[in-house]
Amino acid sequence: MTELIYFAIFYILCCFIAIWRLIKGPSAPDRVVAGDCVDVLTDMALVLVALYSGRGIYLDIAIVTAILGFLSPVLFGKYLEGTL
Amino acid sequence: MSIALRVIIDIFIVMGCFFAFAGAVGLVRMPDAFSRMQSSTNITTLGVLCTLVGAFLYCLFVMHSWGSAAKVVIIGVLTVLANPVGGHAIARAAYRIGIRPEKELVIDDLDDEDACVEPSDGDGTAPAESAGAEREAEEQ
Repeated sequence: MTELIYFAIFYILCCFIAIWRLIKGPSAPDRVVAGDCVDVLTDMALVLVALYSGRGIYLDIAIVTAILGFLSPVLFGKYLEGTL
Repeated sequence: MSIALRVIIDIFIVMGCFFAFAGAVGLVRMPDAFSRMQSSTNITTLGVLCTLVGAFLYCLFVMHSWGSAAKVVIIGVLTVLANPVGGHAIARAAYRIGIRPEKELVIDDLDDEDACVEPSDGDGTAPAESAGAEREAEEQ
């Protein structure tokens, strides 16, 4: 199915919209949330690339990004509160 | 691969793409930080789940691979379990460092002094008080 790679490209274009907020964002939580969104969107693009190419190895990378993407907002939140 | 299955998979993935695009646009257009957090959850719930349902059907009925389907399910469970925790932590941190919504809050539980006291605060104050009490006892 060729259209899967177009959906993956669409997700990457959505990533660029989030990166604009990551660059411009007035406060630190805005940037953290935008970075988390970039992580999740990249995750979905990796799943679609895995389906397009028929290789399961991209799904393993997507699992790792799903786990590590959860850690960054928690750590940044604790750092901003000053309780790290 | 039948054409009906292909249409169903594409409908799920297009729905996921729509919600991801809506979340990304809301991330740019929303006025304050808490509205942007609310809009970003659009991506992580409906956008991710619709895409993963489509990917699950594709793995099962097109690739005939149970391992890939299990990995897709694991990605969905991890995302759904992990992202509310991160969102809660970053929203509380945004409140604590002084960011407020544009409109007046109706219910503001974090404004209460006793609400959500960190464990480190309790550990920090309790020994100081006991040390002060001992010092007073020695002076008497």
